[in-house]
Amino acid sequence: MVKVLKTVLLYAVLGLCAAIFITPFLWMLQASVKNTAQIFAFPPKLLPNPVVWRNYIRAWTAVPLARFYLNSIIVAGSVAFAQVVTSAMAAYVFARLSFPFKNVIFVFFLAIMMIPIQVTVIPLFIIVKTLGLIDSYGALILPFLAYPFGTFLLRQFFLTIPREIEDAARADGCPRLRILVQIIAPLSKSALFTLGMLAFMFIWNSFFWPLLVTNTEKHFTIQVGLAMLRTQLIMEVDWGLLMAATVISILPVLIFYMFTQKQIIKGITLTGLKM
Amino acid sequence: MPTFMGIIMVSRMKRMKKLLASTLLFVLLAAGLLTATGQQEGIAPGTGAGPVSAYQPEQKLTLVFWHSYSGYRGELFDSIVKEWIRSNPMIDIKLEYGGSLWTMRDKLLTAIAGGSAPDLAEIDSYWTPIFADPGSLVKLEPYMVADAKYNKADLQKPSLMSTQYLGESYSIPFNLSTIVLYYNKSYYEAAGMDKETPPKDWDDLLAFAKKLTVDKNGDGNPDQRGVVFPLKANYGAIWYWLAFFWQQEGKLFNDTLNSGAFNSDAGVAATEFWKRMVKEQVLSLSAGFADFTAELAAMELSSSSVLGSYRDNMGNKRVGLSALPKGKVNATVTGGGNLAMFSSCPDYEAGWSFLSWLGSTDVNKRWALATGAIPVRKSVLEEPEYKDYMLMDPKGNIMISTLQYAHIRPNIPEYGDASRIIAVAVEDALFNDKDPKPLLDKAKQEVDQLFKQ
Repeated sequence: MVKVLKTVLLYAVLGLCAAIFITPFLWMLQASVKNTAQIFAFPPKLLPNPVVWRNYIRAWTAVPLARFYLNSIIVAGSVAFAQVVTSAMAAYVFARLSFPFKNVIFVFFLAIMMIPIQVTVIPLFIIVKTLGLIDSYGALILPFLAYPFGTFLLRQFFLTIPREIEDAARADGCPRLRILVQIIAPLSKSALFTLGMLAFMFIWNSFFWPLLVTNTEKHFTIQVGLAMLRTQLIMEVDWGLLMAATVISILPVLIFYMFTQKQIIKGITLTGLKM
Repeated sequence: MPTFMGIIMVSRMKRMKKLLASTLLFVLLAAGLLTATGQQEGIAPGTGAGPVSAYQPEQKLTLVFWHSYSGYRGELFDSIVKEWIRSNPMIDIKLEYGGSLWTMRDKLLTAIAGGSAPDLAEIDSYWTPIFADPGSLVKLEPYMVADAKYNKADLQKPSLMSTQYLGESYSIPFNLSTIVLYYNKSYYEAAGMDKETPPKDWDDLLAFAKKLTVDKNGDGNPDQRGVVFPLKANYGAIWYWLAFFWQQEGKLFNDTLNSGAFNSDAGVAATEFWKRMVKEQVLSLSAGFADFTAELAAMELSSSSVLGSYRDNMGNKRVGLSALPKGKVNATVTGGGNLAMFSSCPDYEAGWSFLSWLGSTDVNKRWALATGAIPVRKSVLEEPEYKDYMLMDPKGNIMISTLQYAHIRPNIPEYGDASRIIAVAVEDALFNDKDPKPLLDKAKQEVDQLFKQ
């Protein structure tokens, strides 16, 4: 009896939390098929009438959304892949090797994450400009090839893998890199996926940096593109159109998650990661 | 222990999920590919020969121009600039979208600090001092005076004033708007009011708004409000507050421009009037910014430049426009955009050629007619096409008549931060029902600190 009650209570709380989290998305979905007057009608009417499917068609032509999509996929995909690779290598070093001042260096590594972006943005901009990379994919990808967060995440995970697994390989004289790729990595698939997912999402959602370093529509990412629909005068914004474009923009992340859901949840529970 | 049925269900769900995801992606990408090739029509080009610049550089030059226009304004701007590019192969203009005016300022500041500023840009009308103060802008005053064709005297006074820093122009006007009153004529009729008689002063505004605040479903809460305009600092409420403030003959700063003076009776009176409108329920603290077009509010204080979109959304017959109701005096606030040249521009003469053409009578007339912006030049009002436009719709006349008492925001670098401090104090008095005087006094002290820095 008590067990049933506990389960019911648990599901009720989880259900409530789920409802709270999903409400903004549901609002966005229903707003994306309405026109502005309907969206702001008061008292609020939930169901659109009439259903304005045109918003989705117009979203592709109001701004070159297809180009922005492509750019974001290229940039976010490259960064995610690069961060997984560089973080895995660094994490392995911190987890397995020993060298003087290892712990001090690790702490400094993490301290990098505490520097606010406002401090780093202008020096980084100057570096990118000096390299002649303004308004190119390089400016969007290169500064993010490595980031300490991934190292931290994977190091914690690698530490949970027993050393004995590698001992046999090491005894045979297997080089460290091969151990990482052929032994550790397959065991850490879920953690690697989680990191890739997080890095992808972070770059997909970033607005400020792409705004700063890109000048031509050819290189805009999707967040900058969405911002083009936010016109100067707030009364002129076509909210239905903006919501439709936003729905389109979150789709890749959503679909990617749907396919890798199992891996990610396993990763979160295994690393004890609280997001 | 997974049962046989369990396995079937899990794999079926997985297949369904994959099917759903793939279908979604396919439908959206198909829509994208099918429509992405469709082009929207451009705006008809102007008449007459192309604009050939009097100054021709020795070598081909490309000037980078940042603007904030997207949507139909972006296309219009693009087509206008293309005319220049076609006529001037030696002076090529590269248009770059710098973000909306909200974000372009950060982008410009970063670019200037990083040494990659554009050569020319469209800037918000009150940014001139911010960029002129550290020397990032080229002083355009000598060019305006030397270039007889530019005709500085032809500029509308508020536009000219917005370009000045320390008495000299560092930008030229392009776009002009003022705050006007829009009202819903159908709601006026429904309330038994004359739809051609908008409120003429603050008492009228309150009285009319009361008649137009209606509880339609009898639940005790008004569903239709008399009036709406932004009240929160983050939504630009200061622009609207300044109209009420200047209508009470208030002064923002002292004459030597080193201390705040807005905590005067005028400041209190403007804030108290807002509080009164809230208390009488004609103005809602939780109003949205689309309330006028969603027909949740009968009157709205807004920029003259949204007339076009209101006409499209609500129909010309339903939208009424008038000057703001009078306080002690008539006053309204200007907005708009100017054009500026940055010190890093490689060829000042070429830059001036292009900017002065953008600010010329012909271009300004076409821009004003297409976007509903107020012309920045008096000569545009004499052009036959513009005269026809004003005959078609008296609203144009009304917008232009507001220029005679339009104030610009003070052209000092501290204005931006000071305006935010004032707006926060007003918001506090309004939303937390506090006495405005002590809050404005405290804001004055903060603003005085700004000047000391």
